[in-house]
Amino acid sequence: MGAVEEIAAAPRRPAGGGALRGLRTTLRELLRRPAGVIGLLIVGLLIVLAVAPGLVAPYAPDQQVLVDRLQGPSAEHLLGTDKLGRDILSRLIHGVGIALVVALPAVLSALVIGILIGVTAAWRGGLLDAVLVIVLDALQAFPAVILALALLALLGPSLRNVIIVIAIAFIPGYARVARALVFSMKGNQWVEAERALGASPLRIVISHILPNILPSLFILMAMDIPSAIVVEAGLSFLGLGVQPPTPSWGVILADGFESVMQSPWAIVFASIVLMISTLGFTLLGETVRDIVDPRLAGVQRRRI
Amino acid sequence: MNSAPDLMRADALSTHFAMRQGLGDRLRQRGAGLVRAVDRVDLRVASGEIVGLVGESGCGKTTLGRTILGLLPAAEGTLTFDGVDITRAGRGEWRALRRRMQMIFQDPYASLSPRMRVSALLEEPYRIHDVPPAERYAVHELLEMVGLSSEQAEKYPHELSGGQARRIGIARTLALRPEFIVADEPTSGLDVSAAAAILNLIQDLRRQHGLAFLVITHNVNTLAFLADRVAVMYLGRVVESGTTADVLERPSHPYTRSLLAAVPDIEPDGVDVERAALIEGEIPSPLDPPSGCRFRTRCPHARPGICEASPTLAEVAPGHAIACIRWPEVRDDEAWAQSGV
Amino acid sequence: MSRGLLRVEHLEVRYRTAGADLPVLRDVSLHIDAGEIVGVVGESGCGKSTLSSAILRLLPPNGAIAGGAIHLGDRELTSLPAEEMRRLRGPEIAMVFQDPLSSLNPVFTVWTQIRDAVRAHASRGAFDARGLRTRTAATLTELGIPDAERRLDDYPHQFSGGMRQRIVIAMALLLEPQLLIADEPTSALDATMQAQIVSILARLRRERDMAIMFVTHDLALVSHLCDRVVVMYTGVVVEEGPVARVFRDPIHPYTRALLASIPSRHEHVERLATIPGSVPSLSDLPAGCPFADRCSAVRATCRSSVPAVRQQDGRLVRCFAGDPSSPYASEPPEVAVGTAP
Repeated sequence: MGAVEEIAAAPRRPAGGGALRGLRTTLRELLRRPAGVIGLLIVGLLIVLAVAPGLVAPYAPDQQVLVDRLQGPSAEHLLGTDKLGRDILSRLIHGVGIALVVALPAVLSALVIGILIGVTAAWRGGLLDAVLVIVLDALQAFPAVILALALLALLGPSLRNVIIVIAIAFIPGYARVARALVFSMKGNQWVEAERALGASPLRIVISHILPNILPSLFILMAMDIPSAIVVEAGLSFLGLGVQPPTPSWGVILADGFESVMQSPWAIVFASIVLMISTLGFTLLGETVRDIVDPRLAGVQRRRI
Repeated sequence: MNSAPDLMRADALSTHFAMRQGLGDRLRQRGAGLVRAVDRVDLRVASGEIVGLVGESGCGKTTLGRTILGLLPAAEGTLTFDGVDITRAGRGEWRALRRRMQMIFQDPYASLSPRMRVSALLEEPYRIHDVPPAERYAVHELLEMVGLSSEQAEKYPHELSGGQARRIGIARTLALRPEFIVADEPTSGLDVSAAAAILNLIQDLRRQHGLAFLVITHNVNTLAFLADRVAVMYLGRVVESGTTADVLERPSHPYTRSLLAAVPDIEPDGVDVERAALIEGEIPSPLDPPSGCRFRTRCPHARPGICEASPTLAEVAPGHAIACIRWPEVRDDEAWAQSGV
Repeated sequence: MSRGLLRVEHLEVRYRTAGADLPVLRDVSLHIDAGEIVGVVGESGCGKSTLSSAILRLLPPNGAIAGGAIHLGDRELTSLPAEEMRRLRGPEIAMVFQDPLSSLNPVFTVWTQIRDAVRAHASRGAFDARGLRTRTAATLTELGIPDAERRLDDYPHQFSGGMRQRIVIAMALLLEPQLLIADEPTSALDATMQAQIVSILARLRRERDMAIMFVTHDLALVSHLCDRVVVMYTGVVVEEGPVARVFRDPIHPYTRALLASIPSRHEHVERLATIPGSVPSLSDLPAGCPFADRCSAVRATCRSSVPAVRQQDGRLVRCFAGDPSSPYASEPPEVAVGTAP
């Protein structure tokens, strides 16, 4: 009804605004929500652990004391020891770095390649778009883990290959969202105004479209990190990912599984850590998403 | 007819849109829909001249403006700018042409990239065209040209009022020192006094910088103030063109007369509004326009068997042309003489 | 003919927004007689739409009538229980909005909606659907909808904007209200369609002696259609009187400036007058006259006290100028702030 709008005769219009100011208000809003605070604390802790595991971990991750094998929690080993007498807590702490070293580059490259594909499809349209959409649909029809398994079987297990494989599995998600966002933006009058000024398509995409779609995509990325961590752990557990003795959470789980009848602690604690980290990233990502771009709420997180 | 050199010239220019066909249409074997949004239009704009293009929604005036600026491809006809045929110009040629031809867009907010500050928006044309610093206007100079203070430079589009956003849009087009500007509904969405300021600004720019404008509008009164010449469009075709005085004071095409009667001007004594609605019915769909004279389905002078032929623009006085097959009879019509505008 | 079918007296409306209590309407008085068309004009933010919502008691949840009275016939609307007010809307006061689509439910046919609307107000047992359908078709035909009987079973989206507005008007008419409030009813329509709707309104007034409050930003349209005009600025009425007087010889500087800023076909000017500055925010109104900062006739008194409404030359004006009893008369003029009209 006109009445309310009349009051706001002064400029109105959502979104936009200074990047810095936006960041500050987002942060303030984040701290106001319990889910955001919990997520922020967990993710913050994980980052500290990843950067300097040696400061916190009581032992080196590969320090074996064979006499102390398969112990339960004690004052000396807070979370117990594994079959080689290594301190489980220390191995889990060192595992944080591995998890992030795999997840971050994997998701980041998926984001970059996904944007390239999505933007190209949306901008060029026509046949190219139709073909790309079919390919993306086909890729996305596989659950990420199955796709990663198949690819790893081809490439062979290694840390680098795990990253590549997770990236490939995650590309379609970003490509589809980027494509949808660019499509919705392409029809805007300012895009035509830029064309009328003589701006090339590449320029319009880089300096106008990208800044508008990146925030949303970054949020999706934050929400995909836990999925990537879980996929990595799964692959490593199956022996297709990071190889022992590197203390990946998947490797710790696999080791624990071998001796689960004697001592379940490795599995119990590794699972809890995995769960908490996943929860942390998800809480943070979803809260930021709700603050910055509630429209994205409909975008489903990927199936694992 | 070409005494003054034409800066921009469209000859028999057409723009077509292909209609998307649904499966249902295909099953029913309907032919591919082709909308002739602009149909063989002649238009010229001389240096330093303001030409008004007036018509109701769906008449193709905006499409024509965008085709002239190469934002839409021309289906037929030729487009000449400064004596050069640019109808089939490639991307590189258009890039160079963009510096000389600009457009002011209809929605003042929507035509500004939302995440850029005013200063960045104003400098952007220079970055696009790699203009050396010596040839650039400073941001504050551009703001001054459109009557804004330099405080506005750090704002984002959503922080501007409608009138301010419109001025920023105009300043952006001025940055490259163009010779020709297409202004699409330059006052839409603005309050009366803000609109007046924009109209004054366009006049000033023409007087001070010798800019030529094609002003697209539905408001004839705006053109009375701005334009030197006026072209009236109906369903993709120009039905009348001439000097502003000719068209607005001696309108000759039946549609122009109806349009003028329908656009109110201030009349302290009031008018007989019940009679003023001269034409009945609605504008037919551009998808399926009437054959021949496109106005014949609403025209009080239309005669079956005569108006099914396509009229061409013909002069009724020097420089004043209309597209009406029945013109001599229409002129001598008794009711016609009475329906004063 | 009753004197003052609608009488709004010293109406105050406030909106509560984040951290502020905005005085959207202040001391607004006006009256509309049966068979009279009164135009309410002003720029965006002047409160004209709030006024129509307040009369219908359809203010948004954060808005409230904070003072004054609204009389319709011998009833006082501001103190009426909500249920009684609801029953009044339709049979006594009807409303037509700018966007006819928002007043029609897209999932029901036109007939279903009209039937339900009328039935909601009919007394039990007195409802005759067949008779209503005949009457509805007749009304729609009267309003220029061809083939009305058959088209009653169409959905709103199957009609054009102009046709939908006719349907909304027809819906309003079927309940035979005494007062029709039309809020920018033609702003979304093309000129020829607007002329048709305006002609319908004029005919309704003549044939049914209906009172119409016509809210618009288009002064030219008001001069065509209305008997009297109410000019609003930042929530107050600055001038009110017969159209002929107000438009020929406006008294309030705001009315004068507004009229001078509209381009006209009949009067050729070199420059249009503009109003300097911008409309003050309702949360930060000046201490004196709200127009003082932009007024060409401002003097010291205008800055310190709010002028009261007074009679002058057969109309009501809210301005110190021209009031011999005000200190204004003896004060020196301030240095002109802008273009004098």
